[in-house]
Amino acid sequence: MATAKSAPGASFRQPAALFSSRSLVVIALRLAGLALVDAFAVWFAARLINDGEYLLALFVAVITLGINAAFLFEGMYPYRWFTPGLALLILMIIYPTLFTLYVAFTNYKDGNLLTRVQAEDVLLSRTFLPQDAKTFNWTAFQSSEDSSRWALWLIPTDGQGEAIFAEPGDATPASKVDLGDYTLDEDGIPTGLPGWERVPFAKTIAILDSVLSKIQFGEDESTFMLNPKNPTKQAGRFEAKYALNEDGTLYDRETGVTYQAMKGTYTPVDGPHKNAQGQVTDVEGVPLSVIRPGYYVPIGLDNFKRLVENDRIRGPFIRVFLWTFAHAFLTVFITFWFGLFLALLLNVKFTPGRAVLRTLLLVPYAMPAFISVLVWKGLLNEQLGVINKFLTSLPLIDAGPRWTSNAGWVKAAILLIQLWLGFPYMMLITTGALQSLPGDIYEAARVDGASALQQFRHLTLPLLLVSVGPLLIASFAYNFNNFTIVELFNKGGPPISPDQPAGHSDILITYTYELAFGSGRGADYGFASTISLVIFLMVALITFFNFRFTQSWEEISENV
Amino acid sequence: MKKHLTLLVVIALIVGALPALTSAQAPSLLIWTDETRAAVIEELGASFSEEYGVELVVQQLGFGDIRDQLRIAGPAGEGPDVIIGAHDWLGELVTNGLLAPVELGDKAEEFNPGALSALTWYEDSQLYGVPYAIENIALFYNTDLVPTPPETWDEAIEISKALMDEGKAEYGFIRQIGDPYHFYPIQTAFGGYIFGVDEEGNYDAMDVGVDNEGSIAALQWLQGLIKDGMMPSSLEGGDAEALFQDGKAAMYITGPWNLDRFKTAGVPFGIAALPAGPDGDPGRPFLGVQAFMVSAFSENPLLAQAFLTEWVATEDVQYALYEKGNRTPAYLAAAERVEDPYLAGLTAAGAVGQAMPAIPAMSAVWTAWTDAITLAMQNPDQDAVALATAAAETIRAAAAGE
Repeated sequence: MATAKSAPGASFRQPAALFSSRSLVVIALRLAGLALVDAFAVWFAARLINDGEYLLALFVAVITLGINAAFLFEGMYPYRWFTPGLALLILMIIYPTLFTLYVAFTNYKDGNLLTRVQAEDVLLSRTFLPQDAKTFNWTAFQSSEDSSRWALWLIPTDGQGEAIFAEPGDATPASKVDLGDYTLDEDGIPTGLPGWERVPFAKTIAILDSVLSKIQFGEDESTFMLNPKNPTKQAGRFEAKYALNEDGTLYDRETGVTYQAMKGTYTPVDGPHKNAQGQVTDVEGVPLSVIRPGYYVPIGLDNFKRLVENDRIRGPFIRVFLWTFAHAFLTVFITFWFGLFLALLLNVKFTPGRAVLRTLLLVPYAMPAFISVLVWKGLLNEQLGVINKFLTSLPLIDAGPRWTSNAGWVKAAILLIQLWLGFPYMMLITTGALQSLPGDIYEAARVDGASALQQFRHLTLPLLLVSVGPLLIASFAYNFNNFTIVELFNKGGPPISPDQPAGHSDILITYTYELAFGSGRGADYGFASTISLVIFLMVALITFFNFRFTQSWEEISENV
Repeated sequence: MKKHLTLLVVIALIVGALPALTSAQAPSLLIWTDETRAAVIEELGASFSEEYGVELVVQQLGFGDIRDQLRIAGPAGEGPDVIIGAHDWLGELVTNGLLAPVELGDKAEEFNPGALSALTWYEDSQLYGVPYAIENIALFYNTDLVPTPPETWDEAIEISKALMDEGKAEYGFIRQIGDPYHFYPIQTAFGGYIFGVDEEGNYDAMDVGVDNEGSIAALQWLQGLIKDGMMPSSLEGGDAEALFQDGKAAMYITGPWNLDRFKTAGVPFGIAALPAGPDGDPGRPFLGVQAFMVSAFSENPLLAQAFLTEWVATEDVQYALYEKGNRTPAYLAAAERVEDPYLAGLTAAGAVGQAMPAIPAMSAVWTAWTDAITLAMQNPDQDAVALATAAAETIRAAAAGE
């Protein structure tokens, strides 16, 4: 109510402030800043539209509108403090999520990486030399009167036949060219021509693209051009290899085969040669394959079908799924109990040197996990590692555990590393929670005759879980996707079998990575997005339960 | 004072604008290269710039980043005109339409034919780059422990046994786990192969040889070594290199990328051809070819091609690239000039080499065959036949387009 009373007072002051020079400057600065942001956004969005990134352009537009609203309307005042955060949230969380969702329904992968326009451009720029056509060595000539006029002196590469002087629109056999006062040099090239100047080779390199490649030399019907694949040495009657039909099919002018884009991949559909099964073949009867590059298009549920139907992929999926859960759960379980155990020890007032110990025990947490895992990897090496060397030096032990090559031991090794990396965090959070527990309830418990164990079981633990519980679930969700440790320690290995694309220690995220990008397989973003989506749904489910559990613990704390 | 300042600003603006004006006239080429090659291109490229009036802009990226960034920057129109890459990138770059084909014409004869065939894409028989270096693996041996390198694997094992019995070395011959690339010389020595070759010399994806008698024999031979305690089973590349570098292992298969490391470490070593198998089959390494390639999205495609044929395909440039990179030049005249005992050993091993397949089915080899070799080494008692068969079936399924 107090705020409502003060409101009229504020509105009284405002008009006065509006006309003061300081406030005008502030408003002008604010508008100028806004104008700058808008100018940048317009430029950025225009570029995005130019590149065909319509969805991202839309997001940029929405964010910009939001920023404008927040700074122009007084009612939106509180949002001003949110705008940077909200803008980043939309750009870096919501947009990628939606984009992943979209990609999951497309064939965006190696071979179908370009947009349709880009793929067509690449294919239409390809050339071929008709079978009976010759190639020529060329020398450039520039008109003395009109410096934009160029011509080529063409000598057949194979040395057979006559040289040709070709200018735009006209080609003259060498014997009919008037040399004037000039002569042919030892290569058979005139040192100059009346009205033309011979251009030294070195000067032609810089104008290859800007001038020479744009000119069609010779008569209109059969023009010469520089060989796009070997421009400095060769010219000839090169022709475009592909022509785009009106229905979007691609016609190969060299072989007469027609290609149709099937789900973004140009597949031969018709041609001069076919075999008994109706496949388009080359002259020798070998079936023709698709031509690359293709482009990416939506393909509906194909990626999801592949996930469900392909035995090779689905087979290990269940196994990987179970270990992912076990790995995350066990990691949280062992790190929590060990961390809590240490926290309880260090919480006892008469433990000497607790402060130092507490600090020291945090070291594993402070070290980058990346380094720690590599150190552990060295320690756990089966033959050369310190641990196994020590074990085998003991009497009665012939061989140490097979940390990296046995399905069970590799899991034990990963949990061991997780324990090392994770207990300091659990110690940290449980120490904090223990210290905030009220002392009087323990006094009451002691009066009632509760033992230390009973105090722990009925007071400490439930109260602790109220504050630590949500963190445990967060830790579970984090370890659910703990890529670093599993990938770095043993790359998900050891392999299950050569015909299964997963290893014994693979979790969902490393399995996805291997399927989508691993081992030079080429990138399949569409399929990777599909699996990511499935993982996302699972983590979302966990988060949902997180809220549920949190509520139930709150009930406990209310009852205490 | 204020007048002078204004004048200064105006002059600074004019001077600053000058290069922009002149460069608007001279076309420029953007080249993406890794650190090793950048210096050579900047030094020797100056002569190309001067002679032809073309500006060369060199941008340094990590070697792998060149490939990964090209797929993003190329189609967006912000990519380079020319890149430096490896021939096994063709599978990815050509199927994505990111490279423009190249023709060498008469100059083709001046190159190592193996290097050119490695850069020829099997689907359209087009050349997709001008090679400058060939690399392959060979047998590196510690000259203190092994005075004369073995010519067959039988000899190699005898030497290993003698060294281990006398306690001179922890191990004789070692190799890392998995890794079909480093296993191929052993596989071929025993009569195995990965993909067969058709009449035209192209790899045939449907002819998979990882489950033939020779490949299985090679796996079993490896398992025997591990069972006899002659070789550790769980080495990664880095561990194995360290063992060789410290003189604890006498023989190791690796490539020129380790030359500098071993030289610096001071381990006395020599390089020899890979040992032959029981029936006298030579151990064939895979050849890797490094090349200059033209982006399909270059704004100056002809100029980029001219850069390749007029500059990259010259003896001096190729020799200078060798001096920086320690790899055999692909240009024959430059290769003849090289006098280096280490490189001679590598070249001897590469003489029977085969271009590493760039066909898409190769990706299944990197997964399935790696798994089979890994499992065979980890479990020396596991049936090698079953492992090889499972790997072969997976590769065949991938080749059939599953």
